[in-house]
Amino acid sequence: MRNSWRLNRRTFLRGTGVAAALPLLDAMRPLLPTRSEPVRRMCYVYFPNGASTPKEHDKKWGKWRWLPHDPGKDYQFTEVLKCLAPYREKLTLLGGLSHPLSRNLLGHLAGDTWLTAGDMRGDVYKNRISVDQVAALHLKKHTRYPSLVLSTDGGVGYKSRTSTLSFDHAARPIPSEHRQRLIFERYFTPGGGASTAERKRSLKAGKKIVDLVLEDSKRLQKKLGKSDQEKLDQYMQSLDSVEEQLRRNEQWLDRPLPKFDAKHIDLDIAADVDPGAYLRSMYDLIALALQLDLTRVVTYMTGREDGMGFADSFPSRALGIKRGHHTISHDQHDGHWEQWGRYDRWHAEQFAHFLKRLDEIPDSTRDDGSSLLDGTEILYGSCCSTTHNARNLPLALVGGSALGIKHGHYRKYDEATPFSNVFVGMLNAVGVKTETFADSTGGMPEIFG
Amino acid sequence: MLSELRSAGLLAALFSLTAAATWLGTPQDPQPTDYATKIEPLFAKYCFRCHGDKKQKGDVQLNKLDPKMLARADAEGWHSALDMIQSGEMPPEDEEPIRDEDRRLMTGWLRQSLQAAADRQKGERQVVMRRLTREQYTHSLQDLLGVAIDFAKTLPEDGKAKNGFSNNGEVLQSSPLHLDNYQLIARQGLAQAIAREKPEVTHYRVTFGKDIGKGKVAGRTGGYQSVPLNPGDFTVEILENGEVVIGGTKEQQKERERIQRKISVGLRGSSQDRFRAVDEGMMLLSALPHKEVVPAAWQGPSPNLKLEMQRVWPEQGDFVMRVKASKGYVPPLRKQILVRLDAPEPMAVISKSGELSAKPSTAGASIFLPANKSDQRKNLRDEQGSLVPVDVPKDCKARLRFRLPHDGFYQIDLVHRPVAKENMPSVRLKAAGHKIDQRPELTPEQLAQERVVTPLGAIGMRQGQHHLELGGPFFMGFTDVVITPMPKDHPLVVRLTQEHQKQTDEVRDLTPSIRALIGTRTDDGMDYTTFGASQEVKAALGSAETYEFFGRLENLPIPAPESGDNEILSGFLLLGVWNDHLVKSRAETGPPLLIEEIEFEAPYLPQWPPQSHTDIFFESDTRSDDTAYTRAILEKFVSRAFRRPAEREEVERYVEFYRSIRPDYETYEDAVQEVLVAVLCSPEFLFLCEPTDDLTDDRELPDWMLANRLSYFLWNSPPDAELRELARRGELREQLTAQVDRLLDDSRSARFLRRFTYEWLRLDRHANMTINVGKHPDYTRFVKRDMAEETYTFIEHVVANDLPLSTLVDADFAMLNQNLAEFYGVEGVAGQHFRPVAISAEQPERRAGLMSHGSFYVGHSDGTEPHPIKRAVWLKARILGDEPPPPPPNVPDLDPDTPGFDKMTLKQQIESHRDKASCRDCHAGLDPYGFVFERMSAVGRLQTKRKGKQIDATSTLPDGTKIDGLDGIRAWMAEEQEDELARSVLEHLFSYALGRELHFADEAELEAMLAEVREADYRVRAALHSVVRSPSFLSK
Repeated sequence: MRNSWRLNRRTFLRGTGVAAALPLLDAMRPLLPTRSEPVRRMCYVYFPNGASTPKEHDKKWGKWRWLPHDPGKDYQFTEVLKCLAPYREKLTLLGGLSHPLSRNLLGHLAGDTWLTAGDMRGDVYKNRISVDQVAALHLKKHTRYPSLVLSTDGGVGYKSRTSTLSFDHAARPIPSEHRQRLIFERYFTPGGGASTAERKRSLKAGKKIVDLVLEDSKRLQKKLGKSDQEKLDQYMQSLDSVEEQLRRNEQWLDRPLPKFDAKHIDLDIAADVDPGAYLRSMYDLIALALQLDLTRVVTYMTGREDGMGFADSFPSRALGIKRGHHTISHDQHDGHWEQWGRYDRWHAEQFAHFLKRLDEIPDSTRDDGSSLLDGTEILYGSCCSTTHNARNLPLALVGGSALGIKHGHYRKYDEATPFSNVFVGMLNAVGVKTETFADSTGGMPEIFG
Repeated sequence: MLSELRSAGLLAALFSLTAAATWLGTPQDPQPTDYATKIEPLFAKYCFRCHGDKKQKGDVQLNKLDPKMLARADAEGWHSALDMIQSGEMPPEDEEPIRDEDRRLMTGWLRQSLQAAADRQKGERQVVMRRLTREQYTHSLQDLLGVAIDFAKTLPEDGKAKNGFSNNGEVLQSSPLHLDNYQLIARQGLAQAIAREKPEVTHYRVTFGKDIGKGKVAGRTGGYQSVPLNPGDFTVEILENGEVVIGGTKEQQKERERIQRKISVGLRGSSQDRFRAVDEGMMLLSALPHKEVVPAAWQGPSPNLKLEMQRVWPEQGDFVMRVKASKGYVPPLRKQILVRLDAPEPMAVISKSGELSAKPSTAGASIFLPANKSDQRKNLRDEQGSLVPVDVPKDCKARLRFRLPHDGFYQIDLVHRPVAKENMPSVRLKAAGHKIDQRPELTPEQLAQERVVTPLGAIGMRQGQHHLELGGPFFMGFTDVVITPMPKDHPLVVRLTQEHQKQTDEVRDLTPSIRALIGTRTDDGMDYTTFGASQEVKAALGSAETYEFFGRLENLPIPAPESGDNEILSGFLLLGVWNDHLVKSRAETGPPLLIEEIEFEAPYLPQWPPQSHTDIFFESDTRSDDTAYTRAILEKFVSRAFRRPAEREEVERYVEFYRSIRPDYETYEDAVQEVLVAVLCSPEFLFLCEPTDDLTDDRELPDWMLANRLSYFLWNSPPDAELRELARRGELREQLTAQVDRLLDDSRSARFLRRFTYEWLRLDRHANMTINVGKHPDYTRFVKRDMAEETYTFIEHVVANDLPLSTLVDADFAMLNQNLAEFYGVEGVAGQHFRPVAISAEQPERRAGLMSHGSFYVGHSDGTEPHPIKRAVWLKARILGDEPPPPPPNVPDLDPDTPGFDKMTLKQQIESHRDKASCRDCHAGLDPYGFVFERMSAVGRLQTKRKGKQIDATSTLPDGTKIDGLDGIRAWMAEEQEDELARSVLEHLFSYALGRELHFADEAELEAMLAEVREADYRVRAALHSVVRSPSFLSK
């Protein structure tokens, strides 16, 4: 992993930013998306172990509640989320939601199902495709990459304690990436990644096969009866769209990135040394990826459940609290709500940095003065409230006003409303027309219209 | 309830052939031509005033809708009229209500006309080109490549047609996602089939025996609820070419030791009194399944013995597990033991004033140990007399010394402050060299108390000085421990001390068996599956034999390939066994099983290069000539893949493709592989193609197409060599009858019968039902598995023995194994294989025929109680072939405000619901068929009382027949419904065989088949033969 050429590369890349200047070939244009359509983006940010949840209006500790005390338009931010106040009109706080199938699970297990609503109640491990990947299947045709799957720890973890939020159509965990330098090299430097030649070869092979099969299909079609021809048409349409995707992917490989400046991003921070800076760098990378339209779907798991991984030491590194995050979430000593609330606040402050960044960048695909934040819906939250209680999840839906999302409330739901309804709304907001996701019962028109 | 039923998709849509056929056959229904005289006046009377020429309320004008329903818009208009009338929404309350008789006429005409319209619009009646289903794709690719990967695992689920079948050509779609995956799967499969360098073989042997591992290197894996085997009691050896590797350089030895440390043995989920390391090996008593509650149910039955291999296993390939085992013996009682209580009941008592005491025991006085008397403490602080952890998630410990007055058994109770569930209250008790981890769940009453008592377990110890330890991670803290002697007649003591000889005698004639499991360690249990069949162990103690279990790693729930994750408890592949003579209670030992060794060899390569490779790259004289050899390879491969003789021209195209890509690849094999990937993405492989070019003038199928239809019907797989050869010689049609029988006698027919049975009888409902384990605690995953197995083996038995179709509803045998027989309460069935068990006709509600199967009852319950309507719909649609119409929209729920509602059985609740006019029409024709099953519980067991009342299973069918219970309906069906049953089976088989929905115009063929079947005394094979010989099956 630590080849010397990489070190050289690092020195080279750092400070220069990347200003790629390959000629744009006209022949490539037709397949690449034109910018007439305003872009719709989706992002999920997760924190583990739940959030500080003293009772509503608790005199002594109430101010350390993650969610406000009273729902409505005139809700008051508590101490924890007041750093989000500048974005009050661009966000909605959601209380009372949970995945019905996960409600009785040990909260940590619910981490596996945060974006899937899968069934882990016994018998066997049955997860599902995650909401971001449903969106990616539809949106990938527009971008270089279907999605970015990020975490602080990398990999997939293991069943019941994952380190990724994303699961593919066959419910397999998608490995997440966490080394920021490698992420940058892989996704932000066209042709710079070592794997490009390999990728080109495989795209070329895929294309040749599709061409041959298409030709075969045409020959076959001539020999078929009418209704069989129609059936084969469907197959050929699928072939066409696969071919189109392959051509697009191939063209992306050569197509230069727009000019951008990445000087502000420090890619060499160790998460366990300076967690705040690490989180902010990740958020900067995500903002940049969205700005460059590398992808329209991002998930970021900032830490793993149950005290695993780097994030457990964040409270100690960032705030000098001499306890791990997981321990804090279990603590019962007088004053533990304050400790937990302070950590939640710190975490929200890093997230606010992300929002600030997004809100500063104009959305170049819209001409109504929208910012990138307005063109991006973000769900920020966790899979449990108090440590092992997978109900009443702390959730904030931020951004996406330009996608038709109506913000400004703290909305409280009862358990008749499954969390999946939020995903139905979010999918539709990015143009994936669907009426259902997993166990949903509707689409939350009060928010998503 | 009813709306649930609707959303569960229980009822197939209104427009199905089966329903239509009945309507046609019912003379009292008015014919469509009656509209002007009989029907229109009714609509005029009730509807036209608001929905006619004058007014068009809600923008609806019924008198302008075409009663012939030729256009889709007219049909849709009438459809909503039907909905309105059925739901009772129209006419509105302030208008004249429709008389019941008129309502029946109107809705009857509407349904019938809509049916006809739908059929007209469905278009041609022809088998449409079918994509291979996931199962067919897997079988086809496995047959072709000789690689046993479950290929379709990553393909999207197939849709289901209205009648439940997934092989319906209309419904089988292809999407870009399919295509992406076809390419990936073909690459993966071919990469496995084609041999390159011989992979390194991982081969370990673990040998068991008390103290044999002392001084040797092996692993030990701890963690939450782990039950590790002491590394002193087993050895780990690494083998190469069947020989134990020894010696070598220091580095090699070090590397071997590293691997040995990564292999441990665990018995998580097992109770200490159900296994023992003895001199001869590991003794495993019969496994006791857990109640299906997380996390215990995630840990396998008790006991189960697993090798835990951390990141020292290959990710793909065939593997073999070899288990050297023999019958065992009941080990004598341990000198010291710590076990969980069978029925935890606290002996310590806290009075209202907070005083601690103990219930009197005839065995002597209790010993009270206050927490502050503990002498060794770790991570604990004293909080007003209660020891609680300083750092909650971290391990903590308090040691207590005590003196026992005499030898015997003692219960240990913990006195502590209550801790809410979300704080994960846990406790670890260590004593007598063992430990028990628990996570007690307190009741709301307990949570409200100052202090509570939690019974922790029982110790069996000698008189004298001892100690115990309390703590563990997430320890809930404690104020006292109370140790109470248990009397000799306590059931637990009786069980543990029962005379050794007596226990041995009880199990002398029983046979243990081995069940193999493989899985991944998760934090709270394991994600596992069993593989291979259970094998009985008849080898006597002292002459152990080796039992082999084969599997394919990619198909099984092994850990995901790791990238970045290196947690100390991640990356564990679990491979193990349990004694599959399952028992139902802790009191039973079952026949003990002795395990001497477990070996793991992966990939398992009995020959090199493998046959999958030589099948593609066969020996040939042309080998020296690249192009000629490639042509030969392709001719063979394309013929197999496309299931027809390859055409010269198409082979040339592939050869041309090979030439064009050859320079892109380093090796010859790589380039050929790429061509084969293309072959496997061709529609000619992925679809059952029936080009019209190749048909005769009267659209008869040529033999090769017929061979495909036949084998995908009766095997759900491609044709074998014999079918291909017959087709090539053009002799298939002549030998059709013999071939159908040959296919049915082949073991591959199970692929058809199981898929057909699953979809015909809607076993998916059984598979997806979550049973309330609070109400049905012994409904374990093994009972569930065996219920499905009962239905499959029953159908297989009926077909194998060509029994009459009436056997389906009325048989003198049941297919059972020991586990299921015990659940049903049928005696005298030993062993886990399914076999026909004679059932006496004398037995009330006897267990015979599909209508007695647990899979039916579970799938048509609400998880807790029986559901008469779901049962009725199943019986009518699946068995009698008469699909009831779906419930209309906005069905009113059963009304819980009805006086005495909660005391009523569901049957009574439905009866009250039926009083509503809008419901009565449908339910009068439906409910009587469900009430006859009332004596069967939600899990298919005979009950005489429900909600405290004697069960009434009497019912009057719409035609006036009076039926009492299962026996009654069974007799009625076998005697009076033979034709209806046969017709239903034929319709389902016919639709499945053709891969399409049936149509009015199929009526004539169905009648002909029915006549043939009748002629053959309703034998099941006559039905199968008649379907194959039908004109629709033989032509396109």
